[in-house]
Amino acid sequence: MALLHVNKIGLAIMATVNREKAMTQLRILFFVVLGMALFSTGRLHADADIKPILADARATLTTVAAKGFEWTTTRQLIAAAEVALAAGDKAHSLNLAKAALNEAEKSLLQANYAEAHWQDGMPF
Amino acid sequence: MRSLIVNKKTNLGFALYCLLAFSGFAGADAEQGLDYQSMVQRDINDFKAYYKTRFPKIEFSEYKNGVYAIDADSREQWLEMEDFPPYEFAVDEGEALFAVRFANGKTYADCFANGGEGIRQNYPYFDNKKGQVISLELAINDCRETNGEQPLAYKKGPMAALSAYMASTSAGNVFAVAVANKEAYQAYLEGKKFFYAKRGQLNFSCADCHMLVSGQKLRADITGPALGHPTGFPVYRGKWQEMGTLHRRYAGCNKNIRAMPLPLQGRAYRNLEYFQSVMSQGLEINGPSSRK
Amino acid sequence: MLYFNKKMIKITACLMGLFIGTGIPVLWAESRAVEAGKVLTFDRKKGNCLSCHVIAGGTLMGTTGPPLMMMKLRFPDKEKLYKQVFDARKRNQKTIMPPFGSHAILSKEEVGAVVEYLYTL
Repeated sequence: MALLHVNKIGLAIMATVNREKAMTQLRILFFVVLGMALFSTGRLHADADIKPILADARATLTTVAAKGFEWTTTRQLIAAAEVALAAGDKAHSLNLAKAALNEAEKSLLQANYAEAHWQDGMPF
Repeated sequence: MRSLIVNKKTNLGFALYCLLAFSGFAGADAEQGLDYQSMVQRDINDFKAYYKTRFPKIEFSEYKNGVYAIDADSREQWLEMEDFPPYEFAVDEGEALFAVRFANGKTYADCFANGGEGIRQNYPYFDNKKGQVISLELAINDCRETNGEQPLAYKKGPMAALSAYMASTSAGNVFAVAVANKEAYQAYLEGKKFFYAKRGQLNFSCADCHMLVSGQKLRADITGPALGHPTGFPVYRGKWQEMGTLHRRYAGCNKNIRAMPLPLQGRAYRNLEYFQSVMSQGLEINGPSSRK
Repeated sequence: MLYFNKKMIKITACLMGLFIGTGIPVLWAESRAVEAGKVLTFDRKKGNCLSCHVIAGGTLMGTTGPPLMMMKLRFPDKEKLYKQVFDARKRNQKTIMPPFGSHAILSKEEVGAVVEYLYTL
C-alpha cells in the first residue's frame, strides 16, 4: 500500500516537473529520509516496548494451542519478531509482535466462540 | 407396585404419586440410563438425509467412494487409476510386515480378534477401561509396545502399509462403530464439536467445506462429501505420491485452513475419526484406495 | 514527528525500489490501487478470491460463492463492500466467507485495494 501511496506522489511530481529534475529531487529526498529513518527508529522503539507484547502474544498462543485452535501463522510472526529484534530492526519487530498478538487474540476469540456456538455450524 | 398399594385410597394422591414417580424416573434416566445409540442414530439419520437432499440421485452405498461418488469427471480418471492400483504395493508390504514375529515370538495376529483379519469395520471403538477412543493405528502401536517393540510413526510408511493390509482383508464389511455409554458419547460429542467448529485463520469448519459446499468447486477441485470419509483410508494420494493415513489427511486439511495440525492419533483427531466413522455407519470398508 | 517519520520510511522504501533495476520502476509507475487490488484478489496466498468466486479473466475458478460482477450495482455503498470483505460475519453470522480483515489475512490497506479492484467489476 505504501508503494501505491508513494507512486501517486511520485507520479504527481513527475507529471508537473521535468523528469530529470524530479529524479534529482527524489534522490535527495531518499538520502535525507533514509538518514532520518535510521537515526530515529532505534530511539522510538526500545526493547522494553516490544518484549511485553511478545510475552503477551506467546502466553495467549499457549492458551489457544491448549484449546486446539492455534493458527499456523501466529508462531511464524512471533519468530519473525524475535529475529527482527535480534537484528536490531526494532520498528519491524514491534509491528510483527503486534501482529502476532492480534492473531493470538483473534484465535482465542474463535476458540471461545466455537465452544459456545459450534452447533451453528450444523447445516440442518 | 408400591405406589398402587400406598395410594389406592385417594385417587388424587395416586395420580400425584404416579406423576412424581414418573418424573423421578425420567430424571434418573437422563443421568445414566439414556439410550445413547438412539441419540446417535438420530444424528446419523440427519447426516444421511442432508446428503440425500443435496445429491438426490446418488445412492447411499456410493459414498464410500468419496468425491468420486458425486463428480463424474474425476470419477473417470479415478477408475482408470484404479485399473493399476497404486496402493497395491503397500498392501503387499503390509501383509509381510503383519506376518513378522516380534522379538518375543508373538505376532500382530495375537493382539487382534480373528487374528486381525476382517476387523477394520470395528475401528475406531470406545474402550471403556482406557476411557478413550481406540483407532486401528493406535491398536497397532499398542500391540507393538505391549510386545516390547518400538511404536511406528502414524503418518505414512509401515503404519500406513499395515493399516492398508488390515483394511484390505475387511473389504466389503460395513462400518459398525457403536456409541454405547455416556463416556463413549462424550468422546463422540468431542468429535462432533470438532467437525462443526470453525477453526484456522481462514475460519472454516469441516462441515463448511464437506457439507455446505460439497460438490462445489474450490478452484479446480470439488470438495468431497463427509459421509463416507473414513471408509477408503489409508489412501495413495496423487499429491503425496505415496500412502498416507486418515490422520495425515486431517493434518493436511487443517494446514489448508491455516489451523495448526494437532498430533496424529491424539485424542482430538481420534474423536473426530470416531464421529466420522459413526456417521458412515452402514457403508462398506473399501480401503486402501486412491485419491487425487 | 512519529507520523512524519513513518511516512518517510515508507517513502524511502519505495524510492529504494524505484532506483533498483530499470524494469520495475516502469511497472510501478503504471500501477494503481486497482492493479494492486487485482493482484491481491488473484494471489492464492492473499485474497485467493478465485477459490470460491468467478471473476472475469480468471482461471480455475470456484463456484462456492456468487460470481463477482456488477459490484457497483450490488454494493452502491462502497463502505458496505469493504465491510463485507473485512468481515462478512457482521452481515451474516453463518457465512463461510473468511473474515479477511478481522483475521488479518489481509491488512486494512489490502482490503481497501481489493475493494477498489472489485468496484471495477
